[in-house]
Amino acid sequence: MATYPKILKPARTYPSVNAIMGINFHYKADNPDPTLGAVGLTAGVPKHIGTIPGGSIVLAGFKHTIAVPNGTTPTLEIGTGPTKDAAGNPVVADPDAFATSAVLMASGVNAAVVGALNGFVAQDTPVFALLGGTGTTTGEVVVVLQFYTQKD
Amino acid sequence: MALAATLIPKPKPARDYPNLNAILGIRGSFNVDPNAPGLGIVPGKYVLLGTIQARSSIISAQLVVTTGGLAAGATYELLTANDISTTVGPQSLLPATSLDAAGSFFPTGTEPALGYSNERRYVFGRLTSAAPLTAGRWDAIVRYYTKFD
Repeated sequence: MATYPKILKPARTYPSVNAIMGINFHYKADNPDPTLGAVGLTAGVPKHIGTIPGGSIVLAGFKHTIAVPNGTTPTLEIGTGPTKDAAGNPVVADPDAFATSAVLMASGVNAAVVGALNGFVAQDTPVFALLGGTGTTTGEVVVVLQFYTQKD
Repeated sequence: MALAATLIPKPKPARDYPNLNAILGIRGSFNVDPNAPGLGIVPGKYVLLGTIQARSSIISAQLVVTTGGLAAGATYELLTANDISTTVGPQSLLPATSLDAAGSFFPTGTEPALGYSNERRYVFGRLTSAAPLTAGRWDAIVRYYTKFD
């Protein structure tokens, strides 16, 4: 089974701050430096990038595709999950629930990224990034998911 | 474009809050009424509004004109520069936008300063007006995210 995080990042917010919160994801295919916030992805292996607290409203997200990932039929999605299949392998429940590959693979900036799960989420919702295709060696994409948590 | 005419009394440090995964903002608030709160109005000068940390994403910029009619042809623009010396990397964040009428204005998605940068960026605003200002109020708001995770 592909490597997979055993411990997911907890939902993060701040007590009694009426601010719009965010989850940042900085994908860089070549020489990513985690100390600078960039991470790589292995095709087919979902990477946990954060958790949206239950009761939040998920707003339109932001993305900046600095370099479109190369390779054979590359795809990049931001979604939810995972569950596990019968063999115990991780499966992202809805791989593009927050950002579709069509949006993320388009060069440039988009400040109105929406997916099927935008809006109210009742439960803590782990967020995953998933790279598809083969042979991706270059590419850089930054995504900021935005949500509001406080209820008053 | 070099920021030849700047007004930088002192570089503002980037402001953040530890471990707060919030969308942050920089605001410049202007009112021609000298008795109202707001930043000083200096036509023709690039005024430093704030600083955005390196490796941040600028999500949006917005110009809100609450009271227009300052002077015919008056505009306000936003841009970023990587170097406080004003000669390196100025990029447009909001093109010169008319202040004639009240409204809310956004840049197009193609403004080069929108998005991620590895560099620290200073945000400047500039009012351009050939005629004396008589009235008006406007605000510039820049939203950005700076946390790595």
